[in-house]
Amino acid sequence: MNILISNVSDKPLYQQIKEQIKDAILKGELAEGVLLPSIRNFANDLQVSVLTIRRVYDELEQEGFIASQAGRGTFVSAGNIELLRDSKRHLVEIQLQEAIHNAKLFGISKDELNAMMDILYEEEETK
Amino acid sequence: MFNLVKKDFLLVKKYLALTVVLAFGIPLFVAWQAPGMMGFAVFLITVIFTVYIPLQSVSLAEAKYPKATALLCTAPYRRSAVVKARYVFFLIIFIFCCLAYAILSLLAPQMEMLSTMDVVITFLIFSIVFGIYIPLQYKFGFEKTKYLLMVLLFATSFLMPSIVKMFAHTNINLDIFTGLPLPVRYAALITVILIVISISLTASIKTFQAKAL
Amino acid sequence: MNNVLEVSGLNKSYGTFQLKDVNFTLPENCITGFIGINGAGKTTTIKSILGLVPKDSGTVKAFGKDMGKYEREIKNRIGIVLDEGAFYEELTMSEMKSIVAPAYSRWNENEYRSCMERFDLNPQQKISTLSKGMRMKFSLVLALSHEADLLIMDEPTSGLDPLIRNQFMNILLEFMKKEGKSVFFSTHITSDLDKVADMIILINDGQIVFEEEKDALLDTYKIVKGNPQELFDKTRKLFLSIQETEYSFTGITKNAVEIKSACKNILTEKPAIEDIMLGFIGGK
Repeated sequence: MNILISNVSDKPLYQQIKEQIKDAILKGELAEGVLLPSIRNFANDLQVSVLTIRRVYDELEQEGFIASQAGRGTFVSAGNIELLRDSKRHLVEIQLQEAIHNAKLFGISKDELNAMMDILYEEEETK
Repeated sequence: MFNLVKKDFLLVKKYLALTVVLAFGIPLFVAWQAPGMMGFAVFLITVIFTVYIPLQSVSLAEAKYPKATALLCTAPYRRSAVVKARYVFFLIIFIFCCLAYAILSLLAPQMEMLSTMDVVITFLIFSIVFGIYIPLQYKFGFEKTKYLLMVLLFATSFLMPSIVKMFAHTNINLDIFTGLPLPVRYAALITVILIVISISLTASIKTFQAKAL
Repeated sequence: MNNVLEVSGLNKSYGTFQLKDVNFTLPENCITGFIGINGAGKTTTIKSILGLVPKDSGTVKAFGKDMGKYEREIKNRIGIVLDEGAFYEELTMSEMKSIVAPAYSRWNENEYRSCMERFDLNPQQKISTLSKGMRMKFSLVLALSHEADLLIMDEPTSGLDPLIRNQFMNILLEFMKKEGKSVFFSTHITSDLDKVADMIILINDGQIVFEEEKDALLDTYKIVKGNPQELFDKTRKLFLSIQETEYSFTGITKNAVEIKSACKNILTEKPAIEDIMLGFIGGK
């Protein structure tokens, strides 16, 4: 897992860290049951405050991405992840539906739309 | 507390040799220079001068490094223990002087043996002099009191023998005292000593506890 | 989260200087930096906490217990570093240790030896011959060798070169890896804290100005630079402090968003703790 902290971002530190951990979990880079670093070690490595990491862990735990077990540490808990992935998928579907609806409105054919999709997808990947 | 006494010894370690030399040297020197002098007077002068050196050097060290004292007081040492250790330190030097004198008088026949009464009276004078000085030093610091001590010491060592002699000649007031049986005399003297020391110790502890370090 | 130290209503007059109603708490497992310019009251606060100077009023609680009543028990769990090593200079380190160590019931001789070795200190060396950096390390050894749960340090890094300061920070981070440890240290070199602190407390003129999480502080405040022609009284009020020249202004603020909407051409940057400190105490 990579975590990059931007000094110019307007996003608060804890949010930057939280989003990157969440991404890593959603992408499967952090598999279920993986032990996360201790709060102090993680804070030392990222050179942020333990209070920030504690907040990140607390919020991720509330959202069901991780679970902490007293005395053993904090683990990635994938219980909700499938659900989350499904809901993300659902979100994408809604956005696509909207795109299709607009395409039909402007008379863009299915093939054209597919071609557009291919180009945009590749562009995104090479970014 | 033992370790705090040890601290005082460590602080004066450079002068310990000198202290030993004085404890043995002064009686010999006086006995050689003024052979007729009373054993009591010789001993009193020895004690006063021998204690002077470590007292000045331990006080100087504490005055030079006040933060070190502060550090000790941030440790779980009681402030009162720091003060008590100082008193024990002087007591040990006093006892050492007694031993040194005793050894000398055993080895050198021209030296008058000390009676127990001599030791007790010397101890009384010693307690009064330092019992006044130490609390004052805690109160006003080393710099302001260093000359006071010198005055006190010289006054004691020069005046005391004459005062004692004077008493011995005139025999006033002392009749009641010398008339008492020996054990009662000892008990009275020791009580006075204990009272002097405890008043002095209490005053020192009170002052030191209220001190900003 | 537990508080390891709670200071409340602390007042102390000291010559012309005064601590005025000082209140703060130190959370457990955190490094708390106590910042302020020289003479702001950092040392007096620390000395009052430790009972080195008698306080006029207020209470200090450590580990949930009253400092006045449980002084020895509490001090047994605190490691102290006073600035520039408070030692009897004529003693060797080993002798100094032999005076300090017996005071602590949890003194760990093995820990002491391995620390001395790790920091390259020779116990037989006289303290007066040590460099500033070595003194600080020796102070740390004494503070770390009795299994303290809280380190309290007064200006431990002042006068040290950047390399040794960096080593010092790493030692602190190492110490913090054990559960239940906390550190409180005062400094006027705030760059020390950018890397290691979790909490920041700012004191100025004997009063606590703020007590904040470091990252939250750095997220909230921004340095904003822009065109002085665009500054109006209304915008000016949004700044904590502001410096203007003919060509530009530079200010520190927690209202960057409002300022952005008020001024067209601005740059925002992340501040260092020092910028925020100066914004609070020097800007008005």
